Amino acid sequence: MNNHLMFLLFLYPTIILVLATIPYLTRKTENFGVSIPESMYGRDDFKAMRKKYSLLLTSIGLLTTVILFIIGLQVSEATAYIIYSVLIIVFIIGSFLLYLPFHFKMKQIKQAENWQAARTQSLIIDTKFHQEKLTHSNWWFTIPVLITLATITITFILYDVIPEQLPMHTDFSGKVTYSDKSIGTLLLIPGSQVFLVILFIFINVIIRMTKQQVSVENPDKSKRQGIIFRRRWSAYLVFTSTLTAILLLFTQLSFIYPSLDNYHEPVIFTITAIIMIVTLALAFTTGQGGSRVNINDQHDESVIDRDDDRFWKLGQFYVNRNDPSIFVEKRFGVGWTNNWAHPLSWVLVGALILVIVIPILLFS
Amino acid sequence: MYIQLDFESETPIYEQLKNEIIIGIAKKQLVPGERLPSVRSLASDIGINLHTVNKAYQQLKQEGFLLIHRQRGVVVHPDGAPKADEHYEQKLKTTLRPLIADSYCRELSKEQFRRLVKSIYSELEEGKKDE
Repeated sequence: MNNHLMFLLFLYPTIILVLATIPYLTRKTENFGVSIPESMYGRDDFKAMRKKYSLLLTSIGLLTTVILFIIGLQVSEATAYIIYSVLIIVFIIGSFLLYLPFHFKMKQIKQAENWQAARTQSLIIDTKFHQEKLTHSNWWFTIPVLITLATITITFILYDVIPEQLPMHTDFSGKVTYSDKSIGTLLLIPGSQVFLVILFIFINVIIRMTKQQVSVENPDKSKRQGIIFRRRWSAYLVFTSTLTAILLLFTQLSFIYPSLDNYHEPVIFTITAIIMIVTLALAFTTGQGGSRVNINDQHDESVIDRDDDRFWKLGQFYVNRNDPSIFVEKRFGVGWTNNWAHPLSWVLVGALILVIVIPILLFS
Repeated sequence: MYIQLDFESETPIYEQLKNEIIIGIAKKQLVPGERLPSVRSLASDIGINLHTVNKAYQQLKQEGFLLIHRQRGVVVHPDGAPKADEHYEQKLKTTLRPLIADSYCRELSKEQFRRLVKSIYSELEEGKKDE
């Protein structure tokens, strides 16, 4: 089978799986971006909503995959990749549009049933939370750094062996453009390695610093879960950054020894597959904020977390002017998002776009 | 130690924050020399303005409960809060007068009031969590 069709059949089901299972991965104090008492998470109508969303999204997703497969049989490889990438973005936006009616329905139910009335709403924090071991040490990133140094060293030692022409990129018709060998072009890969390590260290720091989320209904449990959640994703960062550095080292080696090129795609495919499987496994076993980690329960029914729904626009975008936090845990999803009322959030997004766009402009 | 805040209460957040910390120190849930989160970190955890946390910390510092070091950050005063003196007793009396007057109007007996005081004292001595 064509490589790009393999890619399609691997990537799309993974994305569908991730998007369709989100309602099951969130904290148990939320349903479709609306905060609820933890005890209500298992209500039959809420269960039915989650099921409906997942089934709808899965069927739309699979249908799209089949159509893309048929299209993919008829166009060139490069065009196919472009169509797949664009469709992923369309698909993610589509899943958000599908989410919206569920979100509004939840809001309606919440307003009608007025759960807060009978309980004391409050917020709880642990003064020692940030003194706990929340992430693994940044020293772990010496592993990808060493791989990067190895890549640079090998490149310079073997500089004379490297062919004069290097394949740089493939255009729409599948034609490969070559570029002359130079230090600059050969530093492209080590440059990406450095950039990725810095990015991963940055994320590791963010994971340690972001605000704690302890539930008043269940302080000890939610605290333990939150710590496990952070530690696991921190370990994941070390693991992924190492694998990515190895992948890029291999790409560089295939510049040096063109005979390795035959192995290039299988290696990329294997490493990407490993990363995706680990990501999914981690998301499913841990859940958002560690909500799927089993820890003894001591439920307090008289209290409920402070309702902060008004800061969550459409249940997914956190906008709170008074909150000095830049990053917060996502509501509908696994991972972290920004406080969009904080100017630095926008600066960071701008910087990220620049870092991605500038190299593309420079090398095309 | 857990700090619990009620956002619907009439008591301002900075005051609730102060009260929680003082109760924590009384119950020995916060021990002398213990580090407290920085202003920024606590404000971010609670999701409130930096000034609110700063106000609580500054007042607690003035009252002698906390020390604010430039390097070591915010710590519970290693020597404990200053002992009650005449001036303190005078201040306490001023604070209690309207409260007792209120209870008096509602015909809460001296005995009942004393019992309340006693129960709060023993609760603090046991160091167990209230509510």
